[in-house]
Amino acid sequence: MSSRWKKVWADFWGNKTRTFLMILTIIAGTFAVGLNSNLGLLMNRDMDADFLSANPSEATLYVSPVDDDMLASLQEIDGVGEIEGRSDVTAQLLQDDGNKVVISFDGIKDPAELSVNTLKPANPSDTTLPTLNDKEVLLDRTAKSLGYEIGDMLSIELSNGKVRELRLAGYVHSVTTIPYAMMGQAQAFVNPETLEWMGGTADYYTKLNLSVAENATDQQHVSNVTQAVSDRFEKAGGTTYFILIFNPGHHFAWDVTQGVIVVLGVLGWMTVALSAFLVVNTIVSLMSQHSKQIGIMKAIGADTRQIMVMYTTLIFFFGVVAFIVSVPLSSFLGGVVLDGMAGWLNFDTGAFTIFPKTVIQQAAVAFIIPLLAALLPMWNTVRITVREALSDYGLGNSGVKQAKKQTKDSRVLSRPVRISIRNTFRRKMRLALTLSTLVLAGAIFVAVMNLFGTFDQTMRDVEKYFLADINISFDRAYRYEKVAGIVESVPGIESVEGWMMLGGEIISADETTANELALVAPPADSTLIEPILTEGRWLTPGDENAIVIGNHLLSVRPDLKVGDTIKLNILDRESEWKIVGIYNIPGNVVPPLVYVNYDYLSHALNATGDVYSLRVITSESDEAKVAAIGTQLQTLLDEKQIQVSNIELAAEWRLAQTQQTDVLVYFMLVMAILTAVVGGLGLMSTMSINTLERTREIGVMRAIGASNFDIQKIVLVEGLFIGLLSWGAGILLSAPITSALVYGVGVAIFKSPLKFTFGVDGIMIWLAITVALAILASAIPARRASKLTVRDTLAYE
Amino acid sequence: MLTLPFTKNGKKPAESNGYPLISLRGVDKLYKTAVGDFPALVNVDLDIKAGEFVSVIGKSGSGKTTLLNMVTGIDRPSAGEVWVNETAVHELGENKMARWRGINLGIVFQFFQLLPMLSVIENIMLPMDFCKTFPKNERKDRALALLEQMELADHAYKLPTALSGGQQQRVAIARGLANDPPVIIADEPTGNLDSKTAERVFGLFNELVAQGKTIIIVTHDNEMAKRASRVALIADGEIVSDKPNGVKA
Repeated sequence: MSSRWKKVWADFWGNKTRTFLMILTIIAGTFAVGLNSNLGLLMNRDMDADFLSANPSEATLYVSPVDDDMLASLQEIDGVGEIEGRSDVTAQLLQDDGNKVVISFDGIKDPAELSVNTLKPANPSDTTLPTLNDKEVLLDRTAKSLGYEIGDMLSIELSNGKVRELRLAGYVHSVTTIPYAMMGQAQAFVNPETLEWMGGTADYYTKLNLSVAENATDQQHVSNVTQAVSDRFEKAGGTTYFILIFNPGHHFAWDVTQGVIVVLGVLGWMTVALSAFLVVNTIVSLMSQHSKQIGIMKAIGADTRQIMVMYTTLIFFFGVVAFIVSVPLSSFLGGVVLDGMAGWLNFDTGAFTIFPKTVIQQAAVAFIIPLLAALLPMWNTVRITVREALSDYGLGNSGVKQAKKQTKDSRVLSRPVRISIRNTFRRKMRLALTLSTLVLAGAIFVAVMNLFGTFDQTMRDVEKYFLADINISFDRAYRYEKVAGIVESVPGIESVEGWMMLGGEIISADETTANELALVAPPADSTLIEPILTEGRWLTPGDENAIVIGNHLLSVRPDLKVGDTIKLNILDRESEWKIVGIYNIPGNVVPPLVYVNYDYLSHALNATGDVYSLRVITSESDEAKVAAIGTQLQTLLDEKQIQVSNIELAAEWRLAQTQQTDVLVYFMLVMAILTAVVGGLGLMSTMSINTLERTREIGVMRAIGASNFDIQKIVLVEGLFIGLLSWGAGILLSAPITSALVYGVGVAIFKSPLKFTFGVDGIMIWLAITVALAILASAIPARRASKLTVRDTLAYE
Repeated sequence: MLTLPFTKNGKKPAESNGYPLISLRGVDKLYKTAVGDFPALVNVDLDIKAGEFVSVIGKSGSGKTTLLNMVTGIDRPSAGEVWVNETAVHELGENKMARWRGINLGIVFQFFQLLPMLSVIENIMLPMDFCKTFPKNERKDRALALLEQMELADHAYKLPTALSGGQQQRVAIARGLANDPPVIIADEPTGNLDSKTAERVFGLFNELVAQGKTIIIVTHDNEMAKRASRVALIADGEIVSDKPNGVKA
């Protein structure tokens, strides 16, 4: 190795702290981009691969009983790939602790012979499915958290109050089922005979799972084929009660994960930008330290190109190490996170893969971006003349401009503090780069915390439509007076409202197509709904055919506006309704909800006084006490033989909802912390360089009596001052980033922009982190500075 | 007696042909300062023939280092011409200058300026690496030979910080000789050395001159300056005396 390359190696290896910081800086960007890219690619590959391997249905039709002949004729309709009928029964699983879990049973002949929504072994390494005999049940593996072992007997309470005992024959993997933890409902499979024993039917199907022959991801195409099936069935005398089409051709969490991947990708590249700032900062200071060496090399014959190549190689070395560390690390952690996501979203993962696309991106971040970032500072320094490089003797001015006016004495700040503050502004470019890194890190952190707050606010907004403490749904209509009387007899109940909820269709103006919707009918004077209106007004007592539509219906029927009259098909009867208002609710709502007056709807359906659900307000605010009231209600309604399909507590609902957004927030928080680490590294690097540059000044200060503490204080205060400056600027920058993040996440995940929320929490937490980072980042340089002896510092070259 | 190893053409590095090896013509150098222009050199004319050993003396701030910087191309004249070994130094671009300087001049600094991260021998090999004046496989041998000449072969693989000031200065001289340049330029080469070590360094310079090298040194030590064959006295940017040694100014 020639001497010039030995110098490059010595620069790399000789200053291990600087090399470590530099490599860590590049790793931050390379790792972030790699992790996000790997995670996105793995999620997209494995989630849909597992989902599509189950030959998923794109639509489910809930229908009046269908026999095999009818099913065969529906199979012949153009565009239908596979159509499979299943009967189902919804019941409640009685747990040992007295709790009840909603459980849905599908009747299937042979778990291994399904053509649509097929099942797989719960453990991917198994090759065979468990068999299913009479009075046995298979549970989807996401219900394992309920704690049942194979061979356990499950007590199932049917809607008529009878209890059936089923033996758990095993767990299966049903990738087309929404996981128990999210849905709050377990999915089970029994054979047709057992289903009949449980009150279902073995000869007919009540649910049709439809898979289209082609264009499975085309919502309109799937809708048209489904409508054709429904039309044929209804022409033959059947009734379609309800059609469910949700994100056809993709896993149910596809949209959410796409949003997450995009947002994380943006944060990942922001980390790269931070890392590039830091590379510039470090290179600027490295070059400033090396300017004398460059002058000497030039004096003994090196030309600019040779020196450029030497420093380019040095940066390439940093990139090589960062690349070597980041690629396996991001692949490994991508796999770990994927496993977590797969467990949460219920899909099997594929083989470990290193994606060339990710590696190329990481190579670009590790090699090209640091080089691009360093190019200008390198070029500026290697162009320095020998005279400029060698003329810096003594203390020099080191960034201090000649003051035009004599500075005034400050009565507030001590002289060492004033030294710290003046030192801060001596290297303005370095300060700008350090601040940029910290400001961006702070802005991202505060924005993510604001997103956290926005999710919270969104949940509160959604809750405004479901304000009750307990929501009781019935399997059939009951007289309000009867069920409300039972419920109100339980101590702690403050008020009860009876609501109606029905499926229906909105018919297009030319009467050729129809879109599914759900009518929700609260009492006109309901206090349990506080809608967010974007146009028009809410329902008032006395309204007759008034209807309030929401943003989800508008997304499929954008032509609708306040004042329009629309035609609905409710229980096979067409009626006209006038739109009086438009509300907004975040989140995925399938089918879209429309609100009408209970009195008018029940009268129109000749069902005055009938309700399908009760919304209950308790006098308790403690969740445990509300849960106890829920259990009491369940027991009492069972005693009175009221067929309850579900009792849901507001707290349970909130938990299920927040579980879905928490993963996104935690991911973003990890990215925000990564940016904070990069920001801290930037500050540490700047403080180290500043201290190194001022070694002679420190020597002089020590020579004139400065103690260890004085020297440390000057360095620490400078670090704190930079940190506080960045904190202030970070808050300002966090506003547009929050706005973009809230909008992007809202549209990607909630199908509607979320309300901008700017909280104090993020600002205060970031202040604490900034102070801690500043102290940590300055402590080591401060300690090093205070350990220098006068002799050492004044001999420093 | 110092014998230079591996000289490129086997003859004395610079043959006198009657023309000066170094020639400064009407050189002015003005520095702009906060209090106005400062004339560091004023209309300097200086010719130095091959094989001469010239001491430039003068008080601090008189323009000695500026004069050297004109010769080395480290600084450029505000007016006038600088010729070294038939090259118009004042016209060379910075990049060409570096390579030209590496081949034609050996520079020895007051503070030695050895690269701290390289060993002694690597410091000496570095100019050869940059200028490729010797084949790769000869560079190490040449560096070792130069160190032997400086009586520092035992320290070849030490870092410069492990050496005394005098030893570091001899390493710096060896580095100056690495590319076998015809001219050695030294700015206060004994400024940081004790008198005994300084004596030794001057002895080295005399031996190099005997080998045919042309040497210019800047010093403010009049006694040491007398060891050169010619002494130029500079004051306020002008050469006020330029005489062979032993001739009273």
